[in-house]
Amino acid sequence: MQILVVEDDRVLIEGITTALEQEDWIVQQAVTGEDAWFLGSTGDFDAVVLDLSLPELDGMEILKRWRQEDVTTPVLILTARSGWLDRVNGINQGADDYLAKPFRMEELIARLRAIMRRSRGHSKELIKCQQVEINLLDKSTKVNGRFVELGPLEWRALSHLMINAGKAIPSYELIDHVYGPHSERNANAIEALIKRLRKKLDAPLIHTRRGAGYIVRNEGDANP
Amino acid sequence: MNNIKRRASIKRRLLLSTTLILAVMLFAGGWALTHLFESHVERRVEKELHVHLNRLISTAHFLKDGSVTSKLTDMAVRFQTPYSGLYWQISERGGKTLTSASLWDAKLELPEERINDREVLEYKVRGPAGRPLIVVRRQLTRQIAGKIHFYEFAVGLDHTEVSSARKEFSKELAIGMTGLAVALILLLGAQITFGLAPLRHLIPAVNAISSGKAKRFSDDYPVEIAPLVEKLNSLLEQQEIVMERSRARAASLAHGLKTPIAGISLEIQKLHQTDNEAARNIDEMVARMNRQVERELIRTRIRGTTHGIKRKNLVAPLARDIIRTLMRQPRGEEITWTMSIAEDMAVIMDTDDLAEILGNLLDNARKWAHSKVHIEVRQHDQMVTMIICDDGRGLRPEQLGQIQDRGLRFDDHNEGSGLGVAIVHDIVTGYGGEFQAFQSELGGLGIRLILPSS
Repeated sequence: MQILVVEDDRVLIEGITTALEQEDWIVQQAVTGEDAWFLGSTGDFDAVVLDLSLPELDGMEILKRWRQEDVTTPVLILTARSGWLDRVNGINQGADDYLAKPFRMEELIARLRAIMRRSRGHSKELIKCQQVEINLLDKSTKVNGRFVELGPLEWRALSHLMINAGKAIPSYELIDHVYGPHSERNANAIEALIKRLRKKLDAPLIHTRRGAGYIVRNEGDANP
Repeated sequence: MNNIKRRASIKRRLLLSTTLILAVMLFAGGWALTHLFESHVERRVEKELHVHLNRLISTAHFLKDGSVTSKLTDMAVRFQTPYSGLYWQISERGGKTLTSASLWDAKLELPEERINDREVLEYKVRGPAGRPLIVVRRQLTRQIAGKIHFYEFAVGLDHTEVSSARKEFSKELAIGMTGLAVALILLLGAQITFGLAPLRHLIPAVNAISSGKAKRFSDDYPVEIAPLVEKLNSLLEQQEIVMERSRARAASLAHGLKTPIAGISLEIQKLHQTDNEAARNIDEMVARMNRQVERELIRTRIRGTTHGIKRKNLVAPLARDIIRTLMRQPRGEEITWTMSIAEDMAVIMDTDDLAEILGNLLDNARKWAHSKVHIEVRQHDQMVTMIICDDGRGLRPEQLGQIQDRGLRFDDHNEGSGLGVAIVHDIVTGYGGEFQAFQSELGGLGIRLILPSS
């Protein structure tokens, strides 16, 4: 999962990045309002952690612009402004949650999981496609009820495909979500990764759609 | 509030000083008028006496033996009535003295004095029964049968007639003057009341400002007070600017501190993984620092009746927005939120303050509720009652009275700084409202707020 963290305090952004990376999430940082707006408008993120007091462009203005541009990425506002009217305004402007500083990292991660889950339309942390079931909370994978051990890269690829089940994911998007946006890897690396994943799962879950990418189909879906 | 020693009112001062001035002026005026009247009467009397004197002389008949008679007695009845107050006397030097019948057996005792013919002298002497008299006197020299005779003619009038006229005049004048004084004082009282009315209007204006209903004095004051009102408005503006700057600086400082505190907090969380005692201590200190910062931030946020912009705030939409915000927080979606608030229900207070009240109480209910939170707002008379309750485990009766104590937490397992309820208590009491904690019908804690609706 790819998260955009927008925060102008170096210590804080590094602390958040480290904690989120420990969750096997790909983190992109933005320390100015303009950078944040650009990345959020052009990148493909599963969630955004957004500080409000930013140089160049205020966080609330960025959020407003994203929503006007139909960027639907779930946004968690992380700010020192803890007034209730600020929180209500944040939610009314299109934020999905609001966390006041200082905060506990577990709470930030739990809130991020919650907003991503809500945005995907899943009510729980469990996602099941055909005989494969993944748990986003403990990052476990079961095939026909049996646990399968996956490496971090394999987990990232599988979770992204299953979260977006029914939708073809192009290789470049998978590269971003698995290796990070600044990675030098190419489609061959993804192809090799998918091959490993298919072998571990030993189930006809991931399909290749020529020219479009990879797709996980739910039961009952029409053939790609 | 300082106890200001109330000095005599301006109205009383003006009335008292005006009454004194009026009394002195009317007394002096009365005295002067009486004096003028008396002088006038005396002049009239003297003129009359002169007329009588001239008539006495003109009617005098000198006999060959030098004696003299007068026919004036035939013409003036008062000269014939004993002690009538009007007298005449003709006396020949070294000879007889002829008097009016009114003098009866008395004589006019005039000072021995040599006077020239045609010279008329006036005296104030004692007459019959020792009564004061005004007397005019003239000497006439006649040569009769080769002998020079000196005759003195005198006419006198009882001065008490002048005195009684003066007394009567004074009495009538005093009544007139008193009436005038009363009328003038009443008119002045009305004038002062009317004149001081703009000053009196300042009191409700100051009350409106101190209660937060108004921010400035209106510009509808007379030119004498307008500069003072302008100065006061300018002072209020300056005070507001200073307050706003101070609040902004405090808020900025508090916000500025929260980010580094968040950074330190994250570092401590890393240290916690090694079960470091020092980390626990630092964590506790950071939590205290954060509570302090949060408290200062709250102080800057609470606007209250003095600095807040009181406006009509609809409760239902704001409560809905806050519940929507809370539903995104942990367990927020699992709770059944119910509202019993009329759509047009409004309270007049600062929007920030209302948001803090609703936010803190609903958030507190969210943390403790098992599955239900209910908010109810209703109006009765001039008060608005707001009740927020949950179905959590509530508090023990002895804890209910302590719930508003700042920073007090009855359970450390739940999130929060322990300031939320204390903030609500401060805001509500700041608006002159009441705060009550009770065991709710849902089973958990209930908070009842009674707020003035205007």
